[in-house]
Amino acid sequence: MDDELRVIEDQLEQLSPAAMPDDMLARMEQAMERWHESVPVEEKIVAFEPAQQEKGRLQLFNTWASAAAVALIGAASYIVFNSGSTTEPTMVNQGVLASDPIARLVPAENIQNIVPASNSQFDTHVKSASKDAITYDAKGRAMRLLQVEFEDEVTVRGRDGKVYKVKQPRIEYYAVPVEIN
Amino acid sequence: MDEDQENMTSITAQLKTETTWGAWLKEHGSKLLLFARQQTRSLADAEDVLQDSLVKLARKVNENTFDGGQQSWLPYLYTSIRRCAIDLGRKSDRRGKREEKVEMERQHETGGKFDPWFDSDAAGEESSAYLEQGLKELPEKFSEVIVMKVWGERTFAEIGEALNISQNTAASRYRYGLEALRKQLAQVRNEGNLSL
Repeated sequence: MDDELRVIEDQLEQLSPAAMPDDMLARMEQAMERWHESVPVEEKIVAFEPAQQEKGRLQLFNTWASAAAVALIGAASYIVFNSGSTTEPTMVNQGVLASDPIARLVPAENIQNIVPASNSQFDTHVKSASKDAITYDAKGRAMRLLQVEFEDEVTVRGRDGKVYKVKQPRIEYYAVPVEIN
Repeated sequence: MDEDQENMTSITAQLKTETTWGAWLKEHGSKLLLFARQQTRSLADAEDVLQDSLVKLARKVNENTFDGGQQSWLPYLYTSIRRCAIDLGRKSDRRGKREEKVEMERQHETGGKFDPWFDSDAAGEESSAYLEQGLKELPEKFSEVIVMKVWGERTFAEIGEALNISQNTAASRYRYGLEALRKQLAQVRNEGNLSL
């Protein structure tokens, strides 16, 4: 280090950090003495499932239950918004393929000769769910980020009588508010 | 009987620790507060971050889970203050940016005197004020190393460990920071604002 920098260093060393005010010193000391009254930051986050420490299986179940609830809402929305069109076997001939979810999953040329296999030709499974990440929204509220991996499945039957299944993976994220004291 | 004696020893040790916090804080509080102020956007935030870190230390010491002796308290606190400051920054990012802008403007207008980091020194007050202002305006990665080295009396190895960088990087940042301060002071002198 050259002499000029040493001069700057000496000048800096001559500066004394502002003393901690007496009232602040007293607050800090009191806080340290009452350490047992404060809750560590890691413990301030309310667990997604409060009973997870004691019941490991319940934890898994609840995670899946949360994800399943989300999936159920998605499936219900699908049925509501598509009621009356997806379960009709004649839809292939009614020219509605362009707007039908099946058509979006399967190229049109491949479904010229197929019809839905049954009333339950569309299904959604939850393949996995994780909830490890904590994040904060724009207003600074703590949110637990839930990642849910779905698998949408469409079952169709060709005119030749064969049943085909088309599967498509899908990942969605849900932010669930968590309470921090 | 042995159990009673053990309990008494534990209680005595705890009382002894508690009574020594005040004296220890008097000795080290000002430099820890300086580092907390350098890491945060306001004095209030600095106080919060420092208190959180001190309480964590007290908890670890009293629960006998602290790794190391009293000489390790300062390195632990520097690391803890920095982590707490980062967490706080994430939580209040949007609000903080507005506050930071106001704070920067206020610092600029008052030459750093509004929220002084250092005790004023009548003899060299002029250059001290410019040095303080320069330090506040340095990129954080330089100023944090300078604060830890000069006033925290940490070695580059300890600074590297606290900041999760290599010892050489810590030393380089220190040099670059001093160089930047030197340039700032030279510029002030050239503009005739500094008589020294």
